[in-house]
Amino acid sequence: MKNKFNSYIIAVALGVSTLGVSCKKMLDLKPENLTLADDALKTTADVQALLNSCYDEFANLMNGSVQNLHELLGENVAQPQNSAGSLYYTVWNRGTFSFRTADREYLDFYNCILRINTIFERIDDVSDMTPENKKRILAEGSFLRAWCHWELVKLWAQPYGYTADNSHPGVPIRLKADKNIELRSSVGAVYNQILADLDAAIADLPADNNNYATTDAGKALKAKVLFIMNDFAGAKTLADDILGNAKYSFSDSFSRFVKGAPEEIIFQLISTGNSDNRGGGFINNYRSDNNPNPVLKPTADFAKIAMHGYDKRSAFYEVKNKGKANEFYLCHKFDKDVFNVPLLHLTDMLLMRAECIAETGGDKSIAIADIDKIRKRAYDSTWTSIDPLISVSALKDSIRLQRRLEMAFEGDWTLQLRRRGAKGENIKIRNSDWNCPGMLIQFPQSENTAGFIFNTEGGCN
Amino acid sequence: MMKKHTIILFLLLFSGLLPALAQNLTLTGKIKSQEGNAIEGAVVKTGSTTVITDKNGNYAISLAEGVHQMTVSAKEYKPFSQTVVVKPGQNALPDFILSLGADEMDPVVIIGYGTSTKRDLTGSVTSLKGAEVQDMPTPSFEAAIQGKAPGVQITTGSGVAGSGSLVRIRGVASISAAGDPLYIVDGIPISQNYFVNGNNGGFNNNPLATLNPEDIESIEILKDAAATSIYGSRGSNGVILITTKRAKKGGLKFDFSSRVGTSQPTFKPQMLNSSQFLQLYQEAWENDGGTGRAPLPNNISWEEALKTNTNWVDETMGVGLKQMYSLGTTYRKNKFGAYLGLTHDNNGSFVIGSRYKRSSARLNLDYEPIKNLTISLSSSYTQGINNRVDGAWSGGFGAAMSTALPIYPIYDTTGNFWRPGNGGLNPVAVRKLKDWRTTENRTINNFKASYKISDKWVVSAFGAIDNMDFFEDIYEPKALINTNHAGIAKRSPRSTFNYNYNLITNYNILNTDKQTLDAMVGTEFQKSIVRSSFIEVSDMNHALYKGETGGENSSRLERKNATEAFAFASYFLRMNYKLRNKYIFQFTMRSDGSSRFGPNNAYGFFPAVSGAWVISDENFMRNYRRNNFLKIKAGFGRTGNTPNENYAWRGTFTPPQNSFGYNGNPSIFPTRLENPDLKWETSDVLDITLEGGLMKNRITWEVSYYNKTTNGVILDLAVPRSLGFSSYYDNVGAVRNAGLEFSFTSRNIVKKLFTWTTQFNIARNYNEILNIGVYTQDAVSGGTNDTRVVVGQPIGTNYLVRFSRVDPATGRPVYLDKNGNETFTWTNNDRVAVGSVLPKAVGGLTNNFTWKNWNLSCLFVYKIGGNIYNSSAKRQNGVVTDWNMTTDYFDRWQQPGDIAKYPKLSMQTSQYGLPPDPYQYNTTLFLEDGSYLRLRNLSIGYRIPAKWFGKSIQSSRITFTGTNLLTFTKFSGGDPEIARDFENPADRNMSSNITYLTAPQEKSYNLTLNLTF
Repeated sequence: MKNKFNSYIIAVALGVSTLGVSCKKMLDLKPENLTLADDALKTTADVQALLNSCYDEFANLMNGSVQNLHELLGENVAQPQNSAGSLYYTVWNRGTFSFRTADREYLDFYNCILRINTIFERIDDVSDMTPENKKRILAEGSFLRAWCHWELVKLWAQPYGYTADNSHPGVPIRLKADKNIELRSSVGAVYNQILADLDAAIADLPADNNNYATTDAGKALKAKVLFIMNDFAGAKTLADDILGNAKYSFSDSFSRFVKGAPEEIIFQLISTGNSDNRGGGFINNYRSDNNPNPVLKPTADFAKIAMHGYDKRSAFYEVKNKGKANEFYLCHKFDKDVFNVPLLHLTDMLLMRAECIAETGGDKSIAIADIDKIRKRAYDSTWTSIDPLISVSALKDSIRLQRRLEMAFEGDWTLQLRRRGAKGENIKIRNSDWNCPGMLIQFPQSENTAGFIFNTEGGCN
Repeated sequence: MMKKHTIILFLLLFSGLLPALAQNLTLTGKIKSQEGNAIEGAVVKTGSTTVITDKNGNYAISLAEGVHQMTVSAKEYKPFSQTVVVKPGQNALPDFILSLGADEMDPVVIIGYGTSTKRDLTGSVTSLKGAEVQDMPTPSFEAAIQGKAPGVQITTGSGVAGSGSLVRIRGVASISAAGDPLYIVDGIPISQNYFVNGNNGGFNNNPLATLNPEDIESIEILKDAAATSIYGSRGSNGVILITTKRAKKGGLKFDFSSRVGTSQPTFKPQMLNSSQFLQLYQEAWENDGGTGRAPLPNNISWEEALKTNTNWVDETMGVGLKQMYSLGTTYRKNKFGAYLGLTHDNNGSFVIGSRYKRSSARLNLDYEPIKNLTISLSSSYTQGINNRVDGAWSGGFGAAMSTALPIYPIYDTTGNFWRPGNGGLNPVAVRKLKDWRTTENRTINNFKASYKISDKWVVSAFGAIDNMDFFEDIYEPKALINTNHAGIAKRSPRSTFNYNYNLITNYNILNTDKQTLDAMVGTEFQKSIVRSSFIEVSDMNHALYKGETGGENSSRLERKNATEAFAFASYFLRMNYKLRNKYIFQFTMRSDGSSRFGPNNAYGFFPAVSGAWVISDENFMRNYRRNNFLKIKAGFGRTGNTPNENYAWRGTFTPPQNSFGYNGNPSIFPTRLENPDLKWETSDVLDITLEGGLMKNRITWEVSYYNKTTNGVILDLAVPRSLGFSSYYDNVGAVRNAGLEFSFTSRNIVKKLFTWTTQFNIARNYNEILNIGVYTQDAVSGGTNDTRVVVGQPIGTNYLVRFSRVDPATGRPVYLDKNGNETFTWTNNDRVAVGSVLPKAVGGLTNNFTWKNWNLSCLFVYKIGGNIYNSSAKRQNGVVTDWNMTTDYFDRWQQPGDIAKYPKLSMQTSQYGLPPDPYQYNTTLFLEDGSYLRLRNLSIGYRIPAKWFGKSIQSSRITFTGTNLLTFTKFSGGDPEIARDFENPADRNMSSNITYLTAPQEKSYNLTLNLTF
């Protein structure tokens, strides 16, 4: 009887131990509300959704956040209202260092690239992927990857042309979704990669794509890239292509930050509503109709050139406490609840082509016509055309003035100054040399691995 | 007398021969308690013969004529040994009477899944009785361990009510994985998440606060691999076993205690008053070339400022009141025993508005329904209510030390709370307007059944549940936040359901005069599930714990968060072999499977071998052993640790329903890269201990050496962000901890009316990061990032730019560059390893005196070495900003030629050679020596003579206790015992001794009454 009882105990013991411990499933616990990576990309819809997240990430960067950094380095915005120690304060002082830098923007651009590279590596695993979809998705990925690398190299490296062979350090090029650490490539290599990606994109992007990247967007972006490289011929060719395209027409309104799709827009970030607002970086920092003391305000120098009675764009600006010691200016350009963010548009193409012509000694009349379109739209009835006999130098000044005014606070002007500095012009930005080290954003401290070269800090007054 | 002993000795020496010559006789006897009750199950042993008493306490044993040494042992009684002489024809032995209590010379020690005696221990274990943590009022029981266990470093959080402690056993071996010991209450590894509420309000919730110290019978601290490897994957940082009280023999008994006390800060921050602030602020303005009066922060006018002088420290710190009532009831009769404990604690802190209330009930039952079957049930329920206020960086007393300037009034001229220009509110206003509390309802229950199949074989089944429902309530009215309606009430519930069960069998394989061999085999499963959500109700007049009905515009938002879970499945084995009662060997092994690792590394194997040799039992020590004891033990084994995150190895994507999408279309995106190779952090531990007793154990001592090498250290790596993600869990690098521990207890005077006992311990730990792979000192991701990981240096290295001096000519700070050359420019690249937050040694000294009915107990704790980094001082006594400064700043440069501690006052970072950010810089100017000596506890008690109460009260005692009464330190910034608010486990490992507006410790005076009846 006792033996039988003992056997029973043993049987129960074994049973419980088997039940409790040997079942591997009991250890196979999965996170809730998340998809396991292996299960995430099974269909074309999954890949499309991942691509869509790349646009989402990119839009959250280009909602003004990145453009503001360029402006803070430049001469259009006054010292921000943020307290000492904030990112904007540090950037405006051109004093970023590895513990106070735009690490969020840096990470998110590379996170966007990681997502794109994931698509590249896993697209062939998807069984229902058609060749057409694959071609389009990869082209859109190339388009966004090129743009992300470009934004990175503009902020974290000296401009193209800073050294004759562009061997100066650029940013890491990421083409794989792995954990291998990449050091900084040269600026030349980064631009080569950008152009390669853009060429691939242009070749395969569709002509129409429901607010996503199109062939024209690829061309317009490439034109901008070439222009920043001071490749005026290349930029002009692409600008000609776009400007000759009947799909787009020059808008009557100079206000491109609107809800909707003005006819001159080639590519913009889409806000679907107040809760899906892709202009937050602009609105939160400039908007003054609901905030008497916004973070970012125009400088007096900018106001001087922008605020003229004949210029309808003056409506964007307002002076406060005029004549007093605490006089300051406001920018109303982004005083809205929600708008789309125009990134590629005909105004830019016109300005670009005009300047390319002026730089290369081309047909001045085309340049004048281009710039007059913009001037005529901006000025009141006192507007007059530019004198056809204008000197090249004065023409350039006129074009650049219009560029500064048209795309003010959109992150463009500082880049143009640095481009021109790299081209050899004697450029000062807020009383400092265009290439003073502090004009570059410092890399986050996390980049500190063997062989990584950090930017030199300070040196801009 | 001498003759009698000689005869007995003679008989003993020849007793081995006698059985062969004599005839065996059957003798009967009885084992009784002092009360005369029969003791069932007592073990009567002589030579190789062992018998057990029946329910009447009777036994029958077969013995030869002659002299025998008989030992009797029974659970809950002191063992008893006596020489008996069996004569021809004898058939009975005298009754043996056992007294209650443990064997003081060889006490029982709780070990993993069983017990041992101290003599038989091969591992390193420190035992504390419950009374040792109940004699000192602390916010949480673990704080009372401080100074009492060698090699256990306890840093009490702060004087904020409900705060926890930082407990480190033999240093710290983990970096991103938790470095806290594993806490096991009556067999269940309890959930011990310090980040259930993040560091909301500058405060970490203490998961141990709901454990009632009054319920604790004993605490065992397992330190080396021989002791902890039975807990395998979680034993790397030591194990703390908490055993709660159970009924003892002796019928019905009540223990009542009550305590009242006060709470005050050990140190009050010395901030500038209004005129001092204005003077220094103006000086900075003028030093920077400013003319006229400096524009004051928040646009406050000089007129207003001059007529205001608010002492915000006094407005946020005062005197707290504490009280505690506890009633413990034990009942034991025959086969049934019960313990019922009821306690209510109400701990007010000196931080005004901070209070922790704990109401606790515990019922522990033991029953033997049939022969050889014992069952026990332990059940506790505790409610902890923590009234919260903002602190540290979040406001409250933290604001009093920083942004709340003395020139700001509490109220404006209309009687409303004064508001600065930025719309914020002062700490008094926030405290009065905001209703903030956290509630923890915790129940810990277990059931155990043991069946003795035979005298040699016992099988036990155990199951336990630890459930904690935590919720935080915050109510903010319209006056405090931007809302169109009355106010907003928020609640964050978080439930942790944790259970385990195990099946264990113990078998005595061999039991002879010379040797015993015991084996224990077990299997265990544990799972912990965390569910959380968030509720927000608008247009409310009160917090949700007062009711959920809002105004007519009320709306309710409820969000359920993802459920999190982890599980462990384990097998374990322990074998103990004892030869001649002086050579003891132990082998333990645990195989752990964890859900926190992928299939490549799901299971880990953690073995340990250890041995002990009672040297004093050797013949060559026979002259020594008469009065002395000497034992050496050594062990080597492996333990482990897991990452804190449950799914760290898994690659995951956020699905479309949880992401916002773009252009009206859904999106998915990766949230974590997969690391299927993530594995256990393993520690290989060597321990050698020598322990002894002198003068019949009047002096006992212990010396230990250990060496622990931890490989595959888990790091939440701050990977290059160009990878597209910012952090990644991986096994990187190695850490070494080695140390020496020494402790002794000396009963200096043992007289009937006067006794004096001294206990002393000291532990020296050496900690070194052996490597961190390809990564640099900044490799650890997230958290407050106060210290760095530097190869060749300890975990928690202060990696700073060196401050050289103040330039007498210009008043500017002079730094040292990496090569030691002086420079006016501070740069990141000039950081070097200059110190460590880890101390060189810690310990305690206790003296207990008794005289007649009086007793005096005095505990000093100390810490030698280790740096404190005063992280808030760089803003208090650095570039002048909108923070208040401390009076220490008076020692600043004012004119050429001045030799001063601090540079000239300036509001411009450029004057200090800094980047344009006045906060992200650190220098050795704010690094100080963290050594201290502290009178941790002083208590004076009087045992009231029983005759005062008659027979109704068995014993009574009244005690006055003072804690943290005196502190000796060089640290200029306040209290040197610092555990700041932490953001994650890595912070807990790396940021001790970093102060950032951290509240000081509590000084308390208490009066306690204990009654037993």
